[in-house]
Amino acid sequence: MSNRRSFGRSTLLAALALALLLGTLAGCVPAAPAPAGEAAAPAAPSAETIKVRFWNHWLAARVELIDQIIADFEQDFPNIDVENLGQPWDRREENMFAALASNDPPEVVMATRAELLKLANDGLIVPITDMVEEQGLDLDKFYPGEIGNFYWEGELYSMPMPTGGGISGMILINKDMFEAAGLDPVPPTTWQELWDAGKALTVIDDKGIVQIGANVGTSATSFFAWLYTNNGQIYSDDLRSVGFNSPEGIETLQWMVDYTNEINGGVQNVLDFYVTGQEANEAQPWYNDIEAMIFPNVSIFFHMQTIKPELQWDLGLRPYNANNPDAESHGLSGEEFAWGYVIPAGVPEEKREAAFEWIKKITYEEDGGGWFMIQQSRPSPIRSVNEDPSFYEANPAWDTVLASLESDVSVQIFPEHVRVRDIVEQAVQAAMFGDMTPEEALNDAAEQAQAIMDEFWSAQE
Amino acid sequence: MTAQSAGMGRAAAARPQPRVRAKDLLGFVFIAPWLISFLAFDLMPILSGFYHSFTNWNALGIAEFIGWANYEEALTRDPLFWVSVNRTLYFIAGSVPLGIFAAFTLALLLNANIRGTGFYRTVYYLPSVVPTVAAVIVWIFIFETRRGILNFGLELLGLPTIRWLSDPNWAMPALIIMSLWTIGAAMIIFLAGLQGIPQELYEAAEVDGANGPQRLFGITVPLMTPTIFFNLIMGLVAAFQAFNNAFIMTAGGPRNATLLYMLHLYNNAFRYFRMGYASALAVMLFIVVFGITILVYRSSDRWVYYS
Repeated sequence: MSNRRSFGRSTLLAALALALLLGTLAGCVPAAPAPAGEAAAPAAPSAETIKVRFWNHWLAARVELIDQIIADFEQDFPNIDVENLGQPWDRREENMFAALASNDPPEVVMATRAELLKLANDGLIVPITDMVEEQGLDLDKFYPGEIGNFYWEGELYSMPMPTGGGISGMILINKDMFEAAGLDPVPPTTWQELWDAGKALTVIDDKGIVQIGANVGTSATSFFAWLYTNNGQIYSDDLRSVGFNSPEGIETLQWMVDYTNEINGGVQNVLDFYVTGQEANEAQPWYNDIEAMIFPNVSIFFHMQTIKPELQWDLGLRPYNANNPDAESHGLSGEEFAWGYVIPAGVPEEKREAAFEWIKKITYEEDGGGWFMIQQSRPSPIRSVNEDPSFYEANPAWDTVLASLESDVSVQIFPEHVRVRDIVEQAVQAAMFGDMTPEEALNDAAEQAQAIMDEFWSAQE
Repeated sequence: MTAQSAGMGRAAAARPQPRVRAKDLLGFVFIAPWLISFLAFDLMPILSGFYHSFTNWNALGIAEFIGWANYEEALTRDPLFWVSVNRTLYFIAGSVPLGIFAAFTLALLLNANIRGTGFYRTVYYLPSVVPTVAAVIVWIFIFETRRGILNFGLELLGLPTIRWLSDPNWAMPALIIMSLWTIGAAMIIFLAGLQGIPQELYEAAEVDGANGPQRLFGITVPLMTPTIFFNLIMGLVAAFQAFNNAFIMTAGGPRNATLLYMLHLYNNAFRYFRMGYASALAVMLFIVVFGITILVYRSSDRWVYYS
């Protein structure tokens, strides 16, 4: 009797535990779509609706703009449901990677050009060349340097939005600070003028920088930007060898180091001054009248509008080295960022066309990506959009913005460029901290970078 | 075989074979959710990591077997590998002893019969549940050269200020100081250990004329060694895997001064898409952590008292 009672209790417990287990496992299974006619049915997409999840980093005030484009798009394509998956910047690469690696990746993923090339080379995203041709899209409406950023091995993988250029070709000055220092409120055009203005505008006390004239940068990104204003280049034209350790490269880094040491009192002063970061927010030096010159990207106009519309500013092209007769003002296009939108290879065939339609909307269409740029007062990779009169009304220096875009050099990079950039970053830091001369640092970096290039091309063959 | 043993064998054969009892089944069913999760989300990735450490793999495509090449690259050609190892050992040497000492000291203070003990316990534990990003932003302001509270304190003492986050010599000490932020969990464990020490031992020591330090080093510390041992192991494992603070606050800089091993691993895995190489780095980390844990465990015979 007692055995039977004990067994009965155990059986009951086992049954309960089993129910618990099954319940737990059931929780891991995706919910089945609600049958038509049930209470949840009105909110559920119809059987023909295709879901396009849009993985992107357009946050803050831009979320609403994206949502408006989605609403407009869904009116044109009622069978496509776009979900705006705005992602935080923190651990961006890791999260994107996890999303791509999943069995059910988002249908459209925002990625930088460097990432796009890497993903394309590894066959992890699908080309859109055929879809562009089938629809007869006119790619000439883009600036050549912009659309050119998204080809790899002859295949197109995205269309651009925003501009890949316009991120390093400009100098912005605070006119009030110039006037307070007794200077003409005119942006410097050469390295030499920048040096003089920086010297006049920088104030240093025993704790470091109180007010900065300009930070010429302590990173690889800054070095690359200045390199092209001294007629240098990162790689050879055929992308088979590195070129940043050329005499122009060494001269550029030497100038950056000298400027940082002599005008700003050393790299540690600069790092301390920007200890809370250089992102766009009201706490930053530029918005507090203690930074006289910056080298912004085109998103600055939107941020100035929203953070400090009363700021008195003027715009010029990034200064060049007047001592080099071949040097000119240039910005770079496609070295860093140059955002594109890709379709992961894991997206099923039947959803790719819908994903492409959405990519087309946010890149190619004037009332999609073009409108998005106008709302932010930043230029579009589509030439015609930049002729919109509202740009000239919102931005008195719009001609300079367009001139900057025209001056941008479309940099050829290869899929391992991020590694090379990090190696150059090490070199710039070594020179800035005085551990190596600029020549030693760049030659050392060039050796490492060349090894990566050689390894990459030999693997391709 | 003797007749006796043969007889026993027959008797055993005659008995019904032991079968899985309902009770055992019940146990398995209860642990099944954990077991399934462990197999799918822990064991499988670990085994996968071991395998992929021998491959050239971007985590999304097909893995190409390349033998020991990843290990060879790390040990002989990667200039940042040994830098990151060096920085991590520095971090461990500073943060683990300091963390244990600080947590133990706090626990001793909070174990005293003073008013508002519950409030203080909560206050000291609170940082452990503050999100890392928020904590890092607070610490950036604490370390600020011009207006930071640490430099303000140094100035009050008439000492020179320090460039905590921009000087390569001071960035790692800054990270170590910041690691104290999360000693709340260790402190709670120490507190539980302290409350398990029988009061009569202290009373007997007092009768024998022992003073405070004698009671501390003669009773408290020896009886707390199992807890110290536990916190030491946990602290070592956590310090080897430290990542967030360096990632958010210094990104490995300045001049690689805070390039912790996990940061180097992260860069290879998620910025360069070199998951095979990153797996090799992870395997090496696993081996080192495992080896050090075994060493500490073996050494515990000499300094941990369980009775």
